Amino acid sequence: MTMRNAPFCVSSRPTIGIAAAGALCLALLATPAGAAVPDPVVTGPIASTATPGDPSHNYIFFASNLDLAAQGYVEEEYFISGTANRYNTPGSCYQTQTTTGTILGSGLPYKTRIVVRRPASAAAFNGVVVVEWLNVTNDADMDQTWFQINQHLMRSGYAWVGVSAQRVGVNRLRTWNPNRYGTLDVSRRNAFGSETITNDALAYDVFSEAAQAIRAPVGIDPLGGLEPQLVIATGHSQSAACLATYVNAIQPLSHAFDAFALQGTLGDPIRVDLEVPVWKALSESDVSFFNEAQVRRPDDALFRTWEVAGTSHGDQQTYAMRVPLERRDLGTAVEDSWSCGVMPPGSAVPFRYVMAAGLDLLVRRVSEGTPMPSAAPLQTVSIFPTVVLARDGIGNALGGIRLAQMDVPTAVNTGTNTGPDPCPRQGYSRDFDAQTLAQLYPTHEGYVAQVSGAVDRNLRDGFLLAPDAQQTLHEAEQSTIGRRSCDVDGSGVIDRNDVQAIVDGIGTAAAAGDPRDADGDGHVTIFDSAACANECTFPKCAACGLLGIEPVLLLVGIRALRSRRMARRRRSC
Amino acid sequence: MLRTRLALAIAALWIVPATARALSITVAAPATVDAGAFVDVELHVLGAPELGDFAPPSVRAFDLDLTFDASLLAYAGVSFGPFLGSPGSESIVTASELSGVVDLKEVSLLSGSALDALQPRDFLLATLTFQALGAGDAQLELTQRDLADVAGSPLAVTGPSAANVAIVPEPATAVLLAGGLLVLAERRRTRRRPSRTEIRAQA
Repeated sequence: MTMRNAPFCVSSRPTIGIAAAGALCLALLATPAGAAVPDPVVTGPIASTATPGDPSHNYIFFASNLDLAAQGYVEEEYFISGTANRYNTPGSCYQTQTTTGTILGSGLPYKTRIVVRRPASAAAFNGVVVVEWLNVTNDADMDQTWFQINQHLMRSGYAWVGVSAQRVGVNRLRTWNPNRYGTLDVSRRNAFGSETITNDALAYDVFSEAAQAIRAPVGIDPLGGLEPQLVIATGHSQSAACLATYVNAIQPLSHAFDAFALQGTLGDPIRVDLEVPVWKALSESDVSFFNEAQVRRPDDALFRTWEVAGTSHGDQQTYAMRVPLERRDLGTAVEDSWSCGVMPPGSAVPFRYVMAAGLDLLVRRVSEGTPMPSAAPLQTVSIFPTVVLARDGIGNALGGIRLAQMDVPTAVNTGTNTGPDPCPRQGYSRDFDAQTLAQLYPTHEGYVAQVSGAVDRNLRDGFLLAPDAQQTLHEAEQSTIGRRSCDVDGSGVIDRNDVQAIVDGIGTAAAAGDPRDADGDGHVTIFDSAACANECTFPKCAACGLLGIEPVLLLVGIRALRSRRMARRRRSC
Repeated sequence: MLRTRLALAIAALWIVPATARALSITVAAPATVDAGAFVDVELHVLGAPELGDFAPPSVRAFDLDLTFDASLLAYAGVSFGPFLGSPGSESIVTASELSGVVDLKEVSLLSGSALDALQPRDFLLATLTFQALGAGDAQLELTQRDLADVAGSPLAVTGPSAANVAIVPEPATAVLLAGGLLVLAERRRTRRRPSRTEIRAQA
């Protein structure tokens, strides 16, 4: 294994910890990561003279639109160049090779770019670099895993590196800004500028050498001096499919990565004799539409599959992150042209929460040897010839990892949809109507308690991290689910505080189940406040514990005294 | 012909009571006011016969927007009537003014029977106070008139809810102006008539 300077086994972040760092040393000493991979030549960081969105395009393609600096992160772009092998791998990532690859040709020059988002300071770095195989499904490089878990990566001190490995993505960069990216080439162009390789034959070694540039740079260090302890490969969808071939055919030769997090593979079998941990994180769409159920294999010491109920291949989180960048850098978003059976498409179940929890556990698996928990698979009605998932009466899938959004549902969330490609794998989320919600959750406290129970189970099982658990619980507490009509503050009584809250909200829109909307017309009006004032629990709408209980107690006391007096009189008579 | 007349008579019987039954809200203001003076504008419910007279149905809440000419009037404040309960303690009240529109809301916290016992058929909802800024005709009109009964159902309000206040220059100003004019006139008159000294000099 090629290693950086020397002792690196210090983790400043609680996600790994000191004990973990010790184990990490041992693990890394025993891992032959990166042994066979040559160092590429690194140039950069490539200067950007324009702000993202500028017509000159002289900035990082798909530069993050998040305030990275505010979270102590920097974003830089580097070019890497070297020579790659060509293997007997399929030309397309959509075909998975399951056996170790053989080299068909060597010394094939390439040049590509990598994008680095990392902590600005070494003290904030947790020692783990997540290397993403950028996705080219939409004919341009897109950072799908980053879109999902960027918040977790940054709050935990991970470094993220996106690699332009595939021909489609690199060629798009060349045309997007020829001045900036015109020298990039993963197609071995000849003297006339014509591509001599018209598939992704070089992509695997390009990806390996990117990892090598991060792990053991010669010359320019893309991590700016950060000392990586683990390098984990990740990718979503077609990138995960490429990585499946990488796991099976290339990793046994390159030993470039310490683990693989495959998000949303496309029915890709994984060999059983693995050398590093491999974790598949799958949505409903992946299990059914992409037939992952047909290539299921049992978990073992190094392999895990997690299937997450209610999630879709592309989801609302992805669109929220991706669409603004597409519009900014490409002028249009592919999502704008979609016309799916249920609009808008995309599940609202936060797949990212599971992805974040799994990544931390994968790190622990490598660094400490702690096995990742196994998860129940999604239940199926049939697997062959067609995968059909088992669903409950309202359409939600059964089995799998069940976040609170599915265990205590307030909507149908699914990985399937209808309409032209790519709609069927985009899923959707459709809220229950007010009547269904009222039947399912008669009280707000009961609803929150159920969510709390689901959150606790997921925390215990390792499928959820504390910050995401808190967010889930917070959203449940803030929701109007189960709130009795008029009981705006959820105190269990209707009092002047509730009426005041309704008066304060007059003129605003009300969602289904909003306790302020007593007449259910979708608006908060004076009529709602009057209707609720008429339903007050105590006289004069007195607030419980202030003016409400005391008069009642007083009345009860007076009545008790009166009846005593009457009883005495009767006796005296 | 007879049938037609009969139909018209029936239609009239149908229409007339419907018109008569609608409750209204009046905007009562003095016809004239001196510039610089304060003027009270009262909002009354005329409920006959839709509302009960110390009997159900009663009004629990209202949400009114009174639009006025902000170049002639300045909103100074409001006092709510006592017929939805003691404002602030037995009812929730809010009042705000923005760009010539006063938004008034009141929701009674009393029981239906308590409201019935409080409310005559016609009663005062609120009294708004404005200061007249300058001379002119100031229009005041309720542009939103939402009334709710005890259970929160809307009560239909018909008829106009507007008033006009003529703002005239205040008397003191008029007197000063007249005095000034008299002085000027006297000066002119004395200039035209030659003085004794001038007469002597001419002689």
